[in-house]
Amino acid sequence: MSTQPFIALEAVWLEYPGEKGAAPMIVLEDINLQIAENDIVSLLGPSGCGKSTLIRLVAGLIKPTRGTVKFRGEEVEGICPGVAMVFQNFALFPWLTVVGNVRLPLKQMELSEDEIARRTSHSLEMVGLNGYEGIYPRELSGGMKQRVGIARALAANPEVLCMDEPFSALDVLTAESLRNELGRLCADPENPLRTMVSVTHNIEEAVYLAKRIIVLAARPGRIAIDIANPLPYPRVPSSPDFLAVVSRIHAALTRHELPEPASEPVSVALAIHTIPHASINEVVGLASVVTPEARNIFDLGDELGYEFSKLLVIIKSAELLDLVTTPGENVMLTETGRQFLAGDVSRRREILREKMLRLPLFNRLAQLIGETPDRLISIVDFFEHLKEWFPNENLPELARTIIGWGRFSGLFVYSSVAISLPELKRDTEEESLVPS
Amino acid sequence: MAGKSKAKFLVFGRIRKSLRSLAIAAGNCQLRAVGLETEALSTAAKPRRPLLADVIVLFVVGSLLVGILNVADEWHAPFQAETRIDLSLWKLPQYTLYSLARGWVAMGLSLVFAILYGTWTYYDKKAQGVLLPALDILQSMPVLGFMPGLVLALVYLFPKSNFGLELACVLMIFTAQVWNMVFSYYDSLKAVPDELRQLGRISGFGPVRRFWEIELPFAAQGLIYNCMVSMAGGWFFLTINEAFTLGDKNFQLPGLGSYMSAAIASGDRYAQVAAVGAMSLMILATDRLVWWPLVIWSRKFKIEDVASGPLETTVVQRLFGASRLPNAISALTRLAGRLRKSKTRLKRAPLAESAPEKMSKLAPKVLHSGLLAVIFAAGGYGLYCLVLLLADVDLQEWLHIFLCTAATFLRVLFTLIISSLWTIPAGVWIGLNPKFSRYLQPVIQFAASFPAPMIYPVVLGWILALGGNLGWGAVVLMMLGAQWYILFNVAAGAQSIPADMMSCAEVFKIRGWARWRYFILPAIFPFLVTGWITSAGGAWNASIVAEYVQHGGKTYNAFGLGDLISRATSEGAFDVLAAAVVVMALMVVAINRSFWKRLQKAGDLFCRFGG
Repeated sequence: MSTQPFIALEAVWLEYPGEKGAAPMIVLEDINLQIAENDIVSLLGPSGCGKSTLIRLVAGLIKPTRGTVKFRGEEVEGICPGVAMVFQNFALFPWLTVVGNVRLPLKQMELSEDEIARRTSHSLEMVGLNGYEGIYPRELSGGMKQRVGIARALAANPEVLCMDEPFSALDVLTAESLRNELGRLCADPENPLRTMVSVTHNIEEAVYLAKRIIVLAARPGRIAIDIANPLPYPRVPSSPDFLAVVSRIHAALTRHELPEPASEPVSVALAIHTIPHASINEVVGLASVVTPEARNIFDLGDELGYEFSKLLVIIKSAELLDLVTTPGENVMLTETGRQFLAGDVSRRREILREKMLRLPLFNRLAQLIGETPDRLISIVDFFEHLKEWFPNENLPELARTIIGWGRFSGLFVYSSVAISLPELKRDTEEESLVPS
Repeated sequence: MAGKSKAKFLVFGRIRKSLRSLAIAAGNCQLRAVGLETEALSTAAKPRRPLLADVIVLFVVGSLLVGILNVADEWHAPFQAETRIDLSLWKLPQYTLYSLARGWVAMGLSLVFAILYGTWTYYDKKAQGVLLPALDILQSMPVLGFMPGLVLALVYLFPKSNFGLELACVLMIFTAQVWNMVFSYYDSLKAVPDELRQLGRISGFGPVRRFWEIELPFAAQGLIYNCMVSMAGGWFFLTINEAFTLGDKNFQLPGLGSYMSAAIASGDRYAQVAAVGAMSLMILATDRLVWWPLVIWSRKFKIEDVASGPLETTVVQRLFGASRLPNAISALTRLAGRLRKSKTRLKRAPLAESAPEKMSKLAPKVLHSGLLAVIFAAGGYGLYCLVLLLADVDLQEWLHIFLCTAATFLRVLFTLIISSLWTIPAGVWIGLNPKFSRYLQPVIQFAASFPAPMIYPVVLGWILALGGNLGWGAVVLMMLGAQWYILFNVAAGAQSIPADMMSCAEVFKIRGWARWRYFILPAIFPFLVTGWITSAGGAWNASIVAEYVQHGGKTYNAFGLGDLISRATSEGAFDVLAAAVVVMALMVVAINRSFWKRLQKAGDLFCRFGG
């Protein structure tokens, strides 16, 4: 096996400049990653962790703010040579036929007409698209479109194939069949393309395709776990070995995302922590499906049909609100959670309010609003505070989450321009908004 | 449950409530307890923000009041066909105010007309077959086509006061504003989701309720955007709307357009510059103080993300937020609303049962047929008059008209080609560089909304100085107004190219000419066609002022249809005028139908991303 560093990211940072002197927003933090020739790497992580950004750094579509990206030992300027890419939303040119789409990159490569024709038909054959040559993308289903995308990438004879969530815009069965074929390609000794980097949020997909799985953590994006996957190709998702790798990744993810409290947190009250970006409706929904008995988080995710990383965010939120607790890889209802479920609407809101006020973020915010003469702050001021507390956060999303939680529980009243504390007679105002 | 329907009503809100929340936008007193009214009205409220804001708001409100009184005076003044325009600088604010008032009155009329016409067209499937094509033709009709009829009729109706002439001027501005607003409103009505209409039916909304609660909020965004575009369109012919010759009579109303005309006629450079400055100021002020806040406010009617999201605040909102006056105003309106509501509650109960049902069903029917009959009669009579007029035009004159049309057609063609040569690369560059487009957008928007005819004489002066003539120069003049539509649309098109497509072209190294040919040009094509259509329409219309320009006391002509229309107007040759206007309208409609629509269809089929 070759150990020459094929692609190397050395101390790569990516930051977006903050507005008006605010601290820059860190998208990727100190990424060190070496991809060897013939490596098949999957970047796995929750949404917003910068995995799509990372693959664009590898392809040379984005320049890092700091650090270098090297290809075969040389620093990459512009697009990384020998790279081809498959896009989440296919990125086909709607005005070109299937053949036109596949040929377009080849026409830029100073190849003879014969060579172009040979490569085009060969790559179309590889993805099973012969017979579709003269058809326009709009006449194809999503799965067929992505086959064109893959054929286009393969025809360019790349040394590295980058794939940005190639199956996530497809329905489950179509994604399965394409994944299958890509797995066959990985296993095919005839196939000259041996190095692939793909982005996914699907653990099974990563285990199915990759020799190496890199899990990213969010905010700021960084490498959390790097796991080798030595399963021989072709891989069988139902085999015990396969399942063992999947659950190893599950365990690693849980350890990382939901660490066991080392000791009772005492000094938390001082620091304002951000909250996970979960919709409060989902948090409440989770509380009502979790039982007082411990349940395995992954089984629950399977049962609910939830993507694992997304479920983790919701569980994290529920845990913050003391509705559930997560011993090991399990999740179970707390005493508060039980009371919450037993209560009526106003009791539920009361519990949420009480628990939210224990979180430094909401506590401080309520205090801030309470200190204003009108018990009200404008959205602009609200954003200013958030910016000050969380320079690296995606503010609109965080604001939406905070407002969502606050409004749901009745902690805040939100009126599209301002956030205020509720007052006792609030009902009168509401009544005037309802047409009689 | 009651709570659910409550939420729905909150989402689609009523326009009144929303207007109120605009006034208090930066949020001093939103959603607070009842105790608020007294608190806000009393002076005991803590002075949180600077006094300056109060002063500015007071100043604005005060000058509005003075302005309204001033305008009312002018409209009441005894009839005077030709007001002498005073070119001194200090009169300029007053003239600007007059023009502004005309523009806004016309805008109000346009809004009402657009809503009525749109509603009628949407709900009356029978009339639709006539109303839609009529709209198409009316839209392509040049303003001067309406002028003689309007002016003569209204001056005849109000022989004693200025009102007739003022109204004629307002209506001419109206004809330049209204059509795209009608289209926008009609399209919005078509796009109202079925669920919303069903909700209205289940909740027992009558047509009026349906309008306020569902249709208007739904249409608000498009309508406001189109109002903004229309306002700019309305200024385009200001110079001839306020000062024109009709047969042997000169008409002149005090206003910015006539000020400019007078300044040009007398060759007063300072006055010309001042007029251009006043126009610019008026456009900028309307844009910043009215349209921008409205556009941002109307985002709340976006159906997809009604819930919440980051909001932009505008200067006006900050100003009003800082001032305590709006609090008082909003408190008053709230009080009024509560009073009114308690009244309607009282009224409602007995009324509901006693309304005779038959009457209520019959009445609209009679009204409807009556209205149709009146309109058909009027239309028929108009057509009859037109045919009579056209019968006067002899063969040679028709031939002349067609030759003129061919000349103007070529000019329009060149206008499009030359405009495209610079606007396509520039537009793509702007669209793909969001950083710069943020700074450039206001500049371009201003250039586009500035009525180009105001500076035609100046530009013509340069063209003549460079040794050109109006024959070719008219193309340059037409470009001044028409090119922006292409630029805007191309920029919007480039902006809408999905990021993945950009990355794709980059990764696969599609560069140079191939990038333009296989990627950029097809990608912006549907937008480009829209830009071309709008530009071509604008260029045809502009030919009226571009082929017939007064400069330095002389009148310059360029052989063409626009020149023909202008001259026929000033010479009072109404038969030729009618023929030329009809030919121009038909020409625009015919080219749209036979050429542009097909191009648009092909573009929509082949060049749209996604789906």
